[in-house]
Amino acid sequence: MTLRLMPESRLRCSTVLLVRLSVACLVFCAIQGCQRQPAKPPKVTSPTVEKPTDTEMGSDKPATLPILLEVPNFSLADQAGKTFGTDELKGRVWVANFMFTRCTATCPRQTAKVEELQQTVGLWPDVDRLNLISFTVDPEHDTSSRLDEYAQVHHANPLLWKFLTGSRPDIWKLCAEGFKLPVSESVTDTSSPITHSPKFVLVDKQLRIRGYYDGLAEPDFRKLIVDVRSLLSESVTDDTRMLHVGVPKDVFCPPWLPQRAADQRKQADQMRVFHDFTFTDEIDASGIRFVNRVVTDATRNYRANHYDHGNGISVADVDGDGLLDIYFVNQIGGNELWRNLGAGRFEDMTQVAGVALKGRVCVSAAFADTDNDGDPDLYVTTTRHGNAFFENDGKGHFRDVTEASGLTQHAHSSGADFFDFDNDGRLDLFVTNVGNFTTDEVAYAGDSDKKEFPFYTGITDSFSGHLFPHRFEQSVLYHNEGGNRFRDVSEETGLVHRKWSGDATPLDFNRDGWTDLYVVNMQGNDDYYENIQGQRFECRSQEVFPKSVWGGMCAKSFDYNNDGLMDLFVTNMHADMWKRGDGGNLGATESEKAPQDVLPESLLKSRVVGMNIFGNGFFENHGDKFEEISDRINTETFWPWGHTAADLNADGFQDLLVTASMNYPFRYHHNSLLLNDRGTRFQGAEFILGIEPRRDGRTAAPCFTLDCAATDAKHALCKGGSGPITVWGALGSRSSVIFDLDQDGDLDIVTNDFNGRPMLLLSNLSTRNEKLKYLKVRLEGTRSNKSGLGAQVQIKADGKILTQIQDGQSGYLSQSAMPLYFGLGEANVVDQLIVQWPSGHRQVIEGPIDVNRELLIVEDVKIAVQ
Amino acid sequence: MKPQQTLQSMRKPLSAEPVMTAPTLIDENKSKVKARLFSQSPIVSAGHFSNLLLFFANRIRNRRVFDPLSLFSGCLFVTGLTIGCSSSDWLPSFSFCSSDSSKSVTNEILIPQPYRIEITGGQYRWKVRYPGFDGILSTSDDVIIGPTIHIPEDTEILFELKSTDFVYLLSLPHFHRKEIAVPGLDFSIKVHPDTIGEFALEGDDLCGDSHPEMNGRLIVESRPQFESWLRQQAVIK
Repeated sequence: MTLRLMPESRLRCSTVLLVRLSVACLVFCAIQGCQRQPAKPPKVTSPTVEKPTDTEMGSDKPATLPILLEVPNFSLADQAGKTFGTDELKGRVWVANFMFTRCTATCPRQTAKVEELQQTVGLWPDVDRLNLISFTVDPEHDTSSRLDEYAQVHHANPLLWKFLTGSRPDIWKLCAEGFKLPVSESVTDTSSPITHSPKFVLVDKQLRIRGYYDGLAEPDFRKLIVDVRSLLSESVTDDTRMLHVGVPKDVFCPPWLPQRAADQRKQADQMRVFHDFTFTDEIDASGIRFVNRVVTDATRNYRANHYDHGNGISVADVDGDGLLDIYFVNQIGGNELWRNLGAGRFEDMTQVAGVALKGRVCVSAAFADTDNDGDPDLYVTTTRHGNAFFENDGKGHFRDVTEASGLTQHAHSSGADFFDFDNDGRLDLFVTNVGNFTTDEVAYAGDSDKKEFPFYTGITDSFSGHLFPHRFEQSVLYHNEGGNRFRDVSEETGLVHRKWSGDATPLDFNRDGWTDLYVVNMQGNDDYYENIQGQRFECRSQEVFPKSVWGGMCAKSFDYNNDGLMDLFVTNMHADMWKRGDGGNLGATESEKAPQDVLPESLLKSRVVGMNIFGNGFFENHGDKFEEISDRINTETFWPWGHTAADLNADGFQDLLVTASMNYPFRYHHNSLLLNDRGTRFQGAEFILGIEPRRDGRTAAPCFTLDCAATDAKHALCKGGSGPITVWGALGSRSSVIFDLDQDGDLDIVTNDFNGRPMLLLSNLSTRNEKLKYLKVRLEGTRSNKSGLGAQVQIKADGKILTQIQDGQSGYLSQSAMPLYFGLGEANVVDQLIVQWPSGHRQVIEGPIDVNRELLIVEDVKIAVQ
Repeated sequence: MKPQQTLQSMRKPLSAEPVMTAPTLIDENKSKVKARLFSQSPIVSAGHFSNLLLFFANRIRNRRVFDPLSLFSGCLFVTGLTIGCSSSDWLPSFSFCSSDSSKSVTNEILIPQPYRIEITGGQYRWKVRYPGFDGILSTSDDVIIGPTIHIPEDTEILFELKSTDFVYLLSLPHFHRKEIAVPGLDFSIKVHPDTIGEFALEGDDLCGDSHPEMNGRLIVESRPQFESWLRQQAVIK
């Protein structure tokens, strides 16, 4: 009996069956033992092959492995000298191989592979139901104590990896007749007296052989891991213990991931961009206990809709202690605000701050000083639960002033961005709304009797939402009238945006002093609205971005080549959405763009047919036009959500962190860290810098549990199963914020992961690079808005000009209030600093300016620079 | 006759706002057929001529030349000396012509051009509806089958795509056609197969798991083979 995992086609199943059959039959011929000389294969009868019983309803066939042979009963001794055999192995999945310690040919490589296998499976939740068994074919020499020594050298976990010895006739008979693997005395080679097969054999819980593998060949070894995983998730009739099921089935061990890691690490030596530092996930040490929880539309009752976009993460110094605090947004269970205590430690201040919004499904957060009183206020968007606006008292106590402010909105809101569109010194607000992707049915993500954590269930066809005009929800531009009062001026300014949108980024693209707006449309081409003198907005998307991202997620502008012009990077997962993986699961294993005809035009409704970008778009600013150069500069990534630009190696060029992965029921994808190679191209370095693999090498986490014996018997994943199962889904990050959280001078990363714990990735750059040079710039507007949003800062140092805009844009669905960070490379001083304020005022500060500190620049106020 | 519209909504141009499914449209079509029938008197002919006649009529139709003969192609016909008809409710006096007679395997199958076949996605499966004997969709003699689709060669086929739940994508790689099925909206794929053979039919729900059961075959066969296949389906039904 088997549990349904991801369905595979019948064709594939039968192919696998055939392949396995041939493996079983050919194994007698393919002898590569300790000697090259082939030994005479033992006489065997053909293995009886039984078709796996299929008890499920319907035509969904699980990816079953054939049943090849029954393993005969045996009882031997393990490395501790204890009896160990089929009695102990019943009900467990195990991988067998034959070896001996004196062997110098294939055995060392076999053992190294088992060690590698031990490392991989050691991370699995159900590793206690698994064994790795190494049989010695040289038992006279390999006594238990000899095997114990050997086991310790190879770091064998004695509970998991057993080395078995006994009488030679027993073991040889077991090898030749039980496993049908050849073993014989070597005739020619006196140095290696026994010839045996190096194959790995996979045995199931009922002592049946399910596969033979050439463990020394990488693809077969990867297949073995996947098949072990799949057998562990197979239930047996009398099995009442918790079963752990990965969806898709390779989610615990994506076979392409280790190869990708190895390939990238190999390139490290050739990288000329500085990469001699690493990040370590210190979330446990930080004290942060936040866990992102999501609606059941994204877990047990999965249906593809926009709840999967997850949540933002924003930082601001909410209590005026000079340290940036972190606000985690959540769908279920409430948002959390964590006070920065310094040195990488945090404490929960949600209660005192009053910003939990428990019971609301939240999406994004934006911090900015909207009333110009010197502290960051907060706006939070929700999915139909009412957006909230909080006024800060300067000490981190927030008061809900939504109603009085005029910012009440009950929509499918997404990103929110503060910027001053009319340069009146007060921050206005743009709220992107997705469109109606929910029904009026209310479900509960918590205890339904207590009506805990209600949410509106998603519609089933939300990805065609943009084809239904009545489902559109207009995004809103609010004008700040002063005193934290806002007014909807969308119609008045002509910013009538009715698209299926997720996020936006404000920027003065045409450098006329008025902040324009780039809006990312998840189902459609992106839009660009030009700000005409702070009076109105003109949609000039086609003119300015003729080649356009279709279905983007997040946009962020920064100057990647230090030419003083702000370029634009837009992430777009549509290159990954059209590809099927090995298990039939969506998601590419190579990062590349999708072709123009990936989806029919009736769905795309392209602005101009043939001018779409299905994948990330990188638009280089040439002053008079934007050129799309993403492939040339290597910024295509895997299933991306949002990104943050920051100079992580402090070499004077801004790098990119792209958060990625889609979570249950999709395959795992890793976050990308793209190091900027001196403004020429980007180089993937996530595996080099410790961003990947994740903490403990994990790629999956428990997503939900099902009681297949009772309440969940009808769930698709319960097909063929009878007991409780825990379904594991892929990990994935949605948003990230990059700032110097421990005040050591380098930039650290904090993520908000979907349905999981965040990562807090501390950089060790400041210790790895003693010559680290940086300057943090904090802006305070007087005529301009106090947050300085929209101000451009240019730094001249070491012959370079570094340009950044204070826009608070960090990650997806997030706006933060934090200082700008300039990595200075080898510059010891800053020669000049120029601030172009949104008020129009140009403030020039002549150097030399001391570095490695935070510089506060108040508009119109002369400051001491040394 | 409607101009050819590939890869787009059958009844509305792309630029127009999508329309909700309107069953009345089907009725309109039906009444058109009825009107045609009414304008013709039943024709008696030998059975094997009817195919030839249809073939001829189709050819004319494809050349966009109006000919009264083309009107025949949308309906009727006779096997041997038996008078046949297509409409389920027209001329009730011919009881053997009513929809119930579709169970009779001796009846001629009507294949109007374009030949409309409805493909509906639901619960990760395709349900394919054929017009049955009368050549008209949504009548009681419709034949409903699984994801492998038979179609007659040298015939203009209009696959009408619908969905009852999710957004699905249907691809016919051999014909370079790809279209979505969305609840409440109408989309269609038009093909005109000129080669007999078996081709891939790929289905997917958009932005979700793979559903191999949505992959089928598109079998293009000769008109007689197709008719005999459809007849079998009708008998099974």
